[in-house]
Amino acid sequence: MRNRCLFAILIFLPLAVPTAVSGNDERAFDRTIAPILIRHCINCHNTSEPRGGLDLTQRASALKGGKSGPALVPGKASKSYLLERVIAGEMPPRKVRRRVTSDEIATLARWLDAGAQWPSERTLNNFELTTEQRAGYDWWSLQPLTRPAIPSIANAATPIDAFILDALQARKLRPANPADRRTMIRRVTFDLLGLPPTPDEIDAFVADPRPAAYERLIDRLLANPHYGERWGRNWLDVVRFTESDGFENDRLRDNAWRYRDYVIASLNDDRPYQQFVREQLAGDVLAPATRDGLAASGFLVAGPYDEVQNVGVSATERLRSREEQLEELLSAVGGTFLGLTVHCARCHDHKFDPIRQIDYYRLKAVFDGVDHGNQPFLLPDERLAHERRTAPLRDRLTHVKAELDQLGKQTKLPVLAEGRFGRALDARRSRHQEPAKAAWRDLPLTVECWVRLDSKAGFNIFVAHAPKESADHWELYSYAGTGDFSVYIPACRPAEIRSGVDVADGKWHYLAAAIEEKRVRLFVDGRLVHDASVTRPRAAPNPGPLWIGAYPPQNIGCAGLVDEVRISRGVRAVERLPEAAFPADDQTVGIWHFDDLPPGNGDMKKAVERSMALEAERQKLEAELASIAPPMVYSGTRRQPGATHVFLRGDIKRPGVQVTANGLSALRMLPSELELGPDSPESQRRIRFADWVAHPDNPLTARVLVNRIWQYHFGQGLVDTPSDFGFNGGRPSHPALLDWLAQAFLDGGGSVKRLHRMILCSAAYQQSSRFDAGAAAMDSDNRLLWRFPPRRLEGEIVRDAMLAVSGDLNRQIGGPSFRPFTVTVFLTHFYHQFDRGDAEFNRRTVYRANVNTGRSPLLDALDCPVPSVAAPRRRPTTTPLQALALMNDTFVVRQADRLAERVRRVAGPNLDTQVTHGYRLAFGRLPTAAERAAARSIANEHGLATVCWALLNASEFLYVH
Amino acid sequence: MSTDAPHTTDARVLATRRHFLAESATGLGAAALAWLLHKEALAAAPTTERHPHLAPRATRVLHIFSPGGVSQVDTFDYKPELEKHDGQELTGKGKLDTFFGKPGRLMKSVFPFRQRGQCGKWVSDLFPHLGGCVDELVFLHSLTTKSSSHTPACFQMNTGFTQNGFPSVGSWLSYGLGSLNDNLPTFVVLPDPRGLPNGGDNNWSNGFLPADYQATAFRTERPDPVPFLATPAGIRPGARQAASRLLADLNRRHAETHPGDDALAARLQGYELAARMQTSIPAALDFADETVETKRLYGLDQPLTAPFARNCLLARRLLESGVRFVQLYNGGALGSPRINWDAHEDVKDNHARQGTLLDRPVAGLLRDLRRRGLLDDTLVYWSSEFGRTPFTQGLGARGRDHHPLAFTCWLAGAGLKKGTTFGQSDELGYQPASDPVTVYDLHATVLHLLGLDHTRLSFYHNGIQRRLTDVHGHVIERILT
Repeated sequence: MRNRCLFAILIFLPLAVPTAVSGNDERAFDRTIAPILIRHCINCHNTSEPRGGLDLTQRASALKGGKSGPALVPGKASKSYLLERVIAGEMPPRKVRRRVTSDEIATLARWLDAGAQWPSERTLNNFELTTEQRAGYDWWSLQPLTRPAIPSIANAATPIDAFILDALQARKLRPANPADRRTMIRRVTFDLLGLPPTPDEIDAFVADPRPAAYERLIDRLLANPHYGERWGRNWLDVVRFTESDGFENDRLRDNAWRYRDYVIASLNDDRPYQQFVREQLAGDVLAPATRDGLAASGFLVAGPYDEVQNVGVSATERLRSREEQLEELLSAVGGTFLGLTVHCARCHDHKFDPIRQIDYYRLKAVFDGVDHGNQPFLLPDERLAHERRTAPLRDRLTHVKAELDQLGKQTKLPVLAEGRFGRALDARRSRHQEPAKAAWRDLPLTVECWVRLDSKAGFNIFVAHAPKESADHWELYSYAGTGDFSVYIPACRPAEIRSGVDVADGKWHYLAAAIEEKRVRLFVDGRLVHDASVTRPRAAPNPGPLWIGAYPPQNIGCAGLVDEVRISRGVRAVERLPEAAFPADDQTVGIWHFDDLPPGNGDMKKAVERSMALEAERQKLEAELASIAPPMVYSGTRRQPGATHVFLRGDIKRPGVQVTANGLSALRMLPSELELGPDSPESQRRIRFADWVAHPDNPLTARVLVNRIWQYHFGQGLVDTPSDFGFNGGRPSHPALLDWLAQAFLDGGGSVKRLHRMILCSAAYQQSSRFDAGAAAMDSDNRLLWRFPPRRLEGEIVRDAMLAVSGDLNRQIGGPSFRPFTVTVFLTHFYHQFDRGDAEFNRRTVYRANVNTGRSPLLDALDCPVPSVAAPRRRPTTTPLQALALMNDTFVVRQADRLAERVRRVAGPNLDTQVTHGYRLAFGRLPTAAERAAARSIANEHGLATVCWALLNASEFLYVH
Repeated sequence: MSTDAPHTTDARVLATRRHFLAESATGLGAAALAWLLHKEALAAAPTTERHPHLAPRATRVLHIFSPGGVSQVDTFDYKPELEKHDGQELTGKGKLDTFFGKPGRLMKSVFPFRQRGQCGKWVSDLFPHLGGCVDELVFLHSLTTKSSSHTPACFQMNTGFTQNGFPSVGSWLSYGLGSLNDNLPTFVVLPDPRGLPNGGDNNWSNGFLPADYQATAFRTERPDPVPFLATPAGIRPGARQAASRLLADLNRRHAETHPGDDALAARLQGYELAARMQTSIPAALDFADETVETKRLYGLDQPLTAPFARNCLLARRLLESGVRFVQLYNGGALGSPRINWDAHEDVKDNHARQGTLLDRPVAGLLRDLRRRGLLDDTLVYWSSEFGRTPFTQGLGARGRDHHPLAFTCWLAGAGLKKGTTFGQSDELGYQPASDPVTVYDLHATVLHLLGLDHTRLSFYHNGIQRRLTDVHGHVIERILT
């Protein structure tokens, strides 16, 4: 019955179908049948996931069929189940929008009737062809670079313009007229340096009669070292450069800035792009070894790092976190250099691009030996020399520490060191415990001690009475991060009483707390520093011992020495700096001098004496090692990885086949096989992969880079998703131009500066930004470049430009980042920002420590991205919070003041001259007569700074046209 | 997701948005619209009623977040069996894989439970005031989350993802729905007056969404709660007014000489809105018009609860004034001494302290929202990032470890079957026993109540149309009216 219906349908199928497949014509199969099966069938019916048991990728399996029986009957279309389901509209499933056309059905029918010829070796692959749902190997960006012919267009100033005009003319659009010189010098100076041109530079350029004045200007700007800072910041956006860990701890990375300096220097030196790529992927292992290469490989660890998960106790969490870490890295590698979202293939084959899951794990094998961390910023021979030099010191230190530990175990006694008066408890290495005593519970009490602290990174406990759960608990300690001398009494409200005085500064301090029923006072060096009223809502005693130099239940110690602890009944006078050890008197209910060597036999005494000598030696050795410590770089550490397995569905508990390091199979013109064994050295994996990426036949590397450069010049790329050239990304607006540029870039040896010059010399770049409503109606996004797109300055550039016009800009290039914040550590690192106008903080914004949670609210409001996330394209916004920041940030207000001072200094006392000069500095032009009059009247009444504030907030200052 | 091959991504985002707007005819902030529709006329911005993907039940949201990990079995999830097995080893649940790897013995609730309200919900004595609100609440006892580590779990509760850099719920809602007012931010965070949570302001990041959708944090413990709000000291009002006039003239002329650039016009509006915020935000922070009775309702009269109570009252005032999403933090960062719910040492001690802070102010807030009619179109939800183990952390201990497998949250307000419970944990509060609920489900439900389909609210970022709910999430239909 069903076959008769099918037959009835078949005879009504259109006859005018493409050439039927006949004989053994493999190419005919490829041309007509394979595309139909790939487009409609094998996404579900393939070897790895044969839905319904049916695998339609090979002749044999197709003939065998699935759970519903054979799918094909050669020679009999009307008996073929496959065709029946397709004609019934049941396959592909109804939810799939793309349907099989009647032409395609007819083609299938004829092919089946003609014997269903299918070359025996031919296995279909769902990545072979691009379909409406996904990209295949034939996807545009994966094809070799072409050498497109330059369209022959009359009056095209440059080859670039020929392509641009060609597209404009096709839509009957015309480019804008050339911009004037004043506009051009402002545009191109901001573009290349991220700084405004000076009034003198503007005048000179506007008056320059030479025909090549503009070309000379470009050459001058490209040779300016501020160029590297400006364009380096762009690259740092792409590679998610962060100077703190992110996640829970957000630890600051002291040595990450060397990568930033490498990027800036590379751009300034016009390092060939292929070398730039290779160094970032494998610079630490390339021969010959260079410091540049070492710094460059900071790329691998420029992203976030979850310290907590990596040191946690749960092995599952560690492994899970490691996989996340590598996904983050592969995402950065794929997006930055290849414009591919490789990380989307971690759990399954990529849903949209021809990237197999196994490709992901092969790439993972390339980077499986990369860990986060610092390493010495030394070349191999320097490293060896340093190791040789320090080896005896380190050996000796190991011995000293071992012996100290041994002695500590033997004596189980507090370790003593030279103290404030006599000896002191060395709380870095030991602690003291006393059995509970009732007198330490009864208030009022006075507790005194001397401390000398080496660090405020963590909490330092001086004296702690009873467990924290007890109503009797009190403790004297210093606060993590700040070193604040504090008292904690959980039974009190407030429970935590902080003095606000940093006592963790490496010096001896005399500390005292007078604890009363309703009052707690803190004293530092005989001075009252805090007086708090408290209430005591609860009381549930839970006796426990007294600890000095530690609170063992929470494993909190003390990084320093504690000396002369005295507990006294009542409130005693502590407002005088003691000049000798405390005496015991009738108020004293506990006193510890830590002077006496412990009682006991002579051996014990000897052991303690020995430990004191060793402790002194340990400190000396550590100081010596610190004094010759090498500079460090945050480039991560490396280790030889173990076997890399595919994880089925991305599940770390389901390892699949083992893989070796390889490139991506999606690029058919380049062998993805890197010829590496499973045990190949870590370094070789990255070197070969870097060569694969930088290979001139790799079409993505050059296309992606030239598109990025184009984007930063024109505000949007020819492809508007600069790190995604896959199916989900945008399509090129000018495909031929993209390839022409990429080819020209390769022909030019990968010189980025040459590429800039080509783009900047085009008429497209030099046209005016005037608006054309007619053109906008046809091409609202200005993709065809009928005008130059005006843009707001990026947040960093706004700040830099303000500093430049106020005259405060510190032009120091490179070096450690400036840190306009203090840090406190409460497990999480908290960044407390301040605003200061010293030269150190007036450097360009690219040098601001780029921490995740210490971002500047002003820069945030101006769309600067979160540092640890790749931001290949920024999204400029205009918000009220941005307006508030520009209005009231003390930085902006100060720059207005400084600009006013500068103008007064240069222009003299005449208000008109001052206003004129202010306009010239901020806008690069003279004020109109009306503007001058308005500004003068305000300056007269409210001061020149008031006018300068308006200039710095003005759209004309913040926008480039 | 559409399967059309887009010419440009922006075009697709815009097409989506245009579609969205056409569907909804809704209002967005002028600046947001400028970005979304950049080349379309700014004047076309509709500013009135809206109908998003679905009929919304709520127009605004309050999330009360208690970071650190609130123990479910000592608060809202009553487990008589746990009492019976107190002191015994937990067996038959597979290997106990806890954060600190030291599972101890089962421990009964450290607070007695009793039945409350008309619905008879069991709530522990930790919450005498909140216990009186149970008839307003819907409890979920079978909530699960991915990570047993604080910050990833906090990120998941706030952004749907355990990683850095994803937009928070408030940013998604701002993106999806725009602003309800024209003189206050759309998304406000009120961090605990004792300090920021671990992960800091990453918890309320707009991630890859444009800065239009960023949060504004009000640090009420500071003299200057909102950055940049006040004109800096030393600038006389007259000088600032003159400067603002000069600036407005400059910007207007600049916009006129550069027609077609909407951002320039949007800048003029941005400064006007900023000026309005300079009066409307201090007005929201000024409680002079609140009665003594209201302040007492929140616990502002008690020194202990006053700082958080102040934020609770402020939350109501902001919601009332049209802030779309308020997030209220009841807890700060990790560390010692504890200023959040991370009760590793002693649950009773820790939760008693934190509970006192939460109980009366939040109960007062719920009652105040109800009597002002705000609960009719406001969604309130309370959560922690995970729960705590029903057993102790270590033998002979009194603390509990992190527990992501089953924990409790509650919701209140618009569109909910109040006074009910959905999803049960097992007899010991260890694993879900029925209707497990994920954080994705919770988020999908929140969006649903606001009229947004969580599968359609998306934004292209680095190769993927990202959603708050990743590729997961089901609306919890059975708690909806």
